[in-house]
Amino acid sequence: MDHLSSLPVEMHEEILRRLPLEDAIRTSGLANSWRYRWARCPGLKLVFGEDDSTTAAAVDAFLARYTCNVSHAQIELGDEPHTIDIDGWLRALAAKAIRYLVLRFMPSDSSLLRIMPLAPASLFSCSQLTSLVLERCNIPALPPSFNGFPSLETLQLDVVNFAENGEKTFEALIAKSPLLRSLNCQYPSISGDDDDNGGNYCEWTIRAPNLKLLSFWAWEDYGWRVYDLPQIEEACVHLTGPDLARFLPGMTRVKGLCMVITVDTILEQLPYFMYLKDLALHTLLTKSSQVLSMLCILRNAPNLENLHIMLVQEQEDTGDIEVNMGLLDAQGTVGFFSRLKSFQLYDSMGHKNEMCFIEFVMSKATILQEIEIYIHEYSSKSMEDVYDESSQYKRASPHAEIIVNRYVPLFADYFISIVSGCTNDIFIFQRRIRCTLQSLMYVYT
Amino acid sequence: MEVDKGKGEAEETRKVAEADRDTVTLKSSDGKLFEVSKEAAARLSTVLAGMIAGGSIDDNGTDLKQIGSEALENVVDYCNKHANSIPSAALISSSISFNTAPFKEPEEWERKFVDRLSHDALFDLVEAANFLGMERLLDVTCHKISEMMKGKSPDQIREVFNIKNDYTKEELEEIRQELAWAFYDD
Repeated sequence: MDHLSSLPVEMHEEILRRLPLEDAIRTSGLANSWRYRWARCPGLKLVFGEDDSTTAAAVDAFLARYTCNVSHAQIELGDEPHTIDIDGWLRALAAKAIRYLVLRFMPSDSSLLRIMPLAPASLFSCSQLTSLVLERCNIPALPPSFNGFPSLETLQLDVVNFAENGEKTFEALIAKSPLLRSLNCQYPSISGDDDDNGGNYCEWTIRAPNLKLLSFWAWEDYGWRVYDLPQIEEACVHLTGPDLARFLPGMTRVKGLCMVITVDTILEQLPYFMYLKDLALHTLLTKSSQVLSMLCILRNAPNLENLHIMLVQEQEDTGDIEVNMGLLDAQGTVGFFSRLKSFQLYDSMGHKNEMCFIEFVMSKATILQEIEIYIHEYSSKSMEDVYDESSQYKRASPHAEIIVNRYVPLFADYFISIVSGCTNDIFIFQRRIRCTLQSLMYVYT
Repeated sequence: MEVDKGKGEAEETRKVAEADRDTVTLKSSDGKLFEVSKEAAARLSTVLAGMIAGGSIDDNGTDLKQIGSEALENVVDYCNKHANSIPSAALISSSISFNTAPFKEPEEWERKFVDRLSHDALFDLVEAANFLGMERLLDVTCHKISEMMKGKSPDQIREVFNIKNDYTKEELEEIRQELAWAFYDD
């Protein structure tokens, strides 16, 4: 007996939806009752390039004959994107009201990594998009006919380049997505007509009235700044230049913030972050610019409850500041750590500056419950030393518990500092902070 | 009527469950009775959850006339196993790729659970799961069936599932032309 064909239609659809596209289409060949079943089965997803199970010819056949809307498409193009009519695919998907689109250009040959293919302009005709992920491509100028992405809520740009007049394209792309609630940019770049313009980019603004989650990582300052984000809840920013100071004033309503303070960061005049409860910093405590920038944000976050500091350890001693209680007390004592419940210090060597900062936190935080110190594996100080030393400090909160742990790095080369340009630890840090802040950054729903 | 002597783990969990009085009794189309953890039944089956909430559960055995005893035993076995299993990290963690999000991959024990089933039993279980609104069990069984179809030519699939080829020669030729790429291994 043919059990499969006698199942109810909705079961056939459940099964078809679980098959790779090519296998689903191939069921046409089974029998008359199967011939166009896949073509009428709602919810089939276009997945191309993740494995080799679906050929470009199968995608062509799918787009030509499928009668339902396509809500999800994930397309990863490898070494020869030119042999594939990606422009035609996207036009067909736009006509099928595509909502979730992932488009990645992933050459298997790493020598091709430098060449970024141009994303087809038909991308901008996908007006029903709610979620868009683009990776490793050039974004063309917006066509005059572009009416925006009125439903777009999640935008992720991984290593994309905006070509000529890219500032305007980047700005308009965000501004014309009025419902955007999550923006995730990983190392975007903007290349003008003249690549040697020495970082002279015209200033442009990220305007996103509904943005709740912002993740922004860049090596270079491309002139961006953030206009007041009234809905912002969580942000994770890694900016190495003066752009951090142009981002923070737009994010005063943030509840969870994760950021990197580098040697080039200078934070002096900041607004208050009255909603900020969770703060994660990646910094070092030996440079005056970083220490003062850190104190600047801490001073302006009076409702902070959880503080995580991930220390960057430098191999050579290039510190230019001695952190002592005099310096810290000179920052003004009102409001410092008055709501702080927990403080975590990762990757500590137990150096004098670090111990002094620990002492400072303990002396100010009146309702502190827990202080956790993770000792770096190369630290010359033992966990007992650090524990004994910190136990001697005056505690503003008598019940504060001190916990000292050995820090186990995920990678052997973790020692390399973020400042020297290693990307690995950024991602480790981001992952940890994502757990800490329970960020929803990448969750599509 | 005597409660059916279930096999293996179904039997053991039933004893435990009886002691807790936290079970419901289900009756198959051929009149056999099975006990299942009330919590698991309510969690895994929208239909049973509705019956429990609506008070239409019969202490002497709730009639499920559409489901035979073999399929119902598998349903009950699945529920009881599910009640005892700890969800793996893979199930809890959310995936970055939306591609995998709607369908959760079966767990190891769920794979084994459907792998041991005969062809007939598997299809009976799909229908039972569909009837009872058991999304998770449907996931697992449909996954199994799709695994049996993956990467196979139409001829091979017809053989596995005993599907009659009712195409005429002309129709078959037409399909071959239409989907030339799909028939490479025919």
